[in-house]
Amino acid sequence: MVDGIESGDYLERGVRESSAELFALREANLSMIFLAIFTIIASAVNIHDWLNVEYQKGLDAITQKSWVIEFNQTLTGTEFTDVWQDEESRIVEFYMDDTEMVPLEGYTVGMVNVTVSPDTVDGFSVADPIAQCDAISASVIVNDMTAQWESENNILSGQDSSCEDIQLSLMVYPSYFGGNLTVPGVNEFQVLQPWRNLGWGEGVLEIKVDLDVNTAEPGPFAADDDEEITITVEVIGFLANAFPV
Amino acid sequence: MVEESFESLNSLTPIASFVHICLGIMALFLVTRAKERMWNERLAGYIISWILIFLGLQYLFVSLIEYRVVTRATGVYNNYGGEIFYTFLTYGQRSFECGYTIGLGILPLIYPFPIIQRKSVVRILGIIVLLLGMVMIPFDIFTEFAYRNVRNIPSYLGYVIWTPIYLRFLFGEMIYGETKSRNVSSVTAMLLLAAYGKFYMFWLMCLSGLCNVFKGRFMVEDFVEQTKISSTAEVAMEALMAVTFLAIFLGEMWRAFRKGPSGLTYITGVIFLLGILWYLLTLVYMDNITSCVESACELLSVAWVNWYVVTFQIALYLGVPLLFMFVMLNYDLVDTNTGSGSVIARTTVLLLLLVTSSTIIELVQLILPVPEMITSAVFAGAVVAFIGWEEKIMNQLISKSKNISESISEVSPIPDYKISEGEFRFFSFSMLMLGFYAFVISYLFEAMGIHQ
Repeated sequence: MVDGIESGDYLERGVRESSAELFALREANLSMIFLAIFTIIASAVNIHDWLNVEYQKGLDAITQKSWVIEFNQTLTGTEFTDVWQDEESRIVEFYMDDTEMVPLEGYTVGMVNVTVSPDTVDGFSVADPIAQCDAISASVIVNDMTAQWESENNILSGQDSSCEDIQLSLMVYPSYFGGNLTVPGVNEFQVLQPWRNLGWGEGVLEIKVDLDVNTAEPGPFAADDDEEITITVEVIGFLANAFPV
Repeated sequence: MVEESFESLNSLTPIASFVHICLGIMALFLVTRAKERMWNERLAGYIISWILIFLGLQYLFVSLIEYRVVTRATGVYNNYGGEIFYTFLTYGQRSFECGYTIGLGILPLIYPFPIIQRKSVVRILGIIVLLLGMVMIPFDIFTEFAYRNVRNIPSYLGYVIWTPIYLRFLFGEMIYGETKSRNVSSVTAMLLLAAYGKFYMFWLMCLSGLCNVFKGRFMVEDFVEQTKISSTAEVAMEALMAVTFLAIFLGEMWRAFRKGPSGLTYITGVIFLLGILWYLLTLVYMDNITSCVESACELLSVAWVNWYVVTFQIALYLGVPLLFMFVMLNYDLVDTNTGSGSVIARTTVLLLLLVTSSTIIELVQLILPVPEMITSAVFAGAVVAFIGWEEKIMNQLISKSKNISESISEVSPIPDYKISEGEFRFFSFSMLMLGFYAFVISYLFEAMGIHQ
């Protein structure tokens, strides 16, 4: 044993007694006091920062809240008019990156509405006053354009023989239906994140239009063998904003 | 397997587990033979050996988790989400962490300066170990580890006890010319570095409050977030940690200025610089780090993760066993001179050196695209050098070993209790029981499905 002391005086010592030697030097004690004060100040400042700033931020980030999501909408689009011959079937392509189709800066394509309109009203036209309404069928061709092709809210085909417009609709952005939504979420960023994905509504929108001319026969003016058809494409763009309820 | 960007993270755990367990068992053997040492040194030897074993077992569980886990949270904390959180593996990992915490909590009470100077100290500490373990482990699991930093409080006792010891003996040497006091201040600084060195590299972040942004992030990404009291306790402990590091750093700089640099000067200097680099790196990646609270969690940058691995995890998985073993060998806690003790000590040193070099080489390979042929050649060179120098290194460690009891007795005699072998065996048995209890309770709690 090295310098061990077996004297009865040293056999048992309390913590205070045994640690007294640690505090025997004045300079060491002063430095300990300084360090203790410094520790207390640093602790107090950091705890204050933690409890009042970072902890609150963290708490806010993990607390679920209700948010209303509102959609600002814009409308862009284009129109195509041409004459279809009897029994003609034609596919008209609309490029979604055309300047007329692209939504405003910051907006995302939500859905596309297509209207297919014949030029006759109730079958009557100046050129063909006794003409009947032509049978038109129109459809949106499923292709590589990024959209919700499987959505139940799509109207991808329609037909008409009463000179009415044919309305078609294609949902482009997932879960976008145009109306306000109430959703749970921890912060604005996370709530809006699903509405800030890029890449939807890219590609070519293909509209197939078939024409079957109906003409009253026989007759002196029965010369109706074509139809002027207008295809109007409306691109609904949206910008989502979130507000806590 | 985990995210590709976190490939390097925890890649050292299997080897760290092996090294810690091997070193712990070897150290236990060596300390059992060191019957001539002072009671507090023997007890310290036992505690450090068990600390290494508990750490090794903890890393074993981490390795198994890493093998099992498919998804990882975005952060670097051992947080793997629901798939693994309520399982035997996580319970086991945390339970052995409790064992380590308890070991680290009692070590400053007796070494290097025995605060408890009672003949029954070994029995008292054995009972404290059992009682703390009985309470701490189930408490930790029941509370889903949400009071982790409250549970860790015993392990911070070293800051409170070792720092005054360091200062006392540093001033003793520098002002009062107590030449042997350097041994005490150096071993105390070594112990502080072994126990907390891995955290010291964050000293500037923690002192300036920048560590809080990480806690905010962990609040979001932890599977079960820390309670307010636990996270607040952590903030306080971080300030304490930073200040104790500054105490050692300034002390060593003062000593280097007056008496020339030592190994400790370089180690603390490197940690000081690492602290500044960590601070700057955190500022650079601030958006990435705060993404969880400001917007949505982003994966931490790969560069950040790699830096974390080569600094923090190297200090954690390699620095800790190296420093603890250095303390045991250099400060004469174990018997390295006689018979098989000498053989085991040499084996230990070789194991340490080879594993360290191979691990560092592996890590370099993981981060930098260095061809395997080059790293193999470097490793072979290291093996040859270590075998050639092993005797010299060993002799230096043994011949220059310092006797701490003698150094302390110069200013305050330590009572030389004749403590029986049975009491030391009882203490070691208590630690063994703690490990057994940690294992069994982890298994039972999963089997019972307490969190289902």
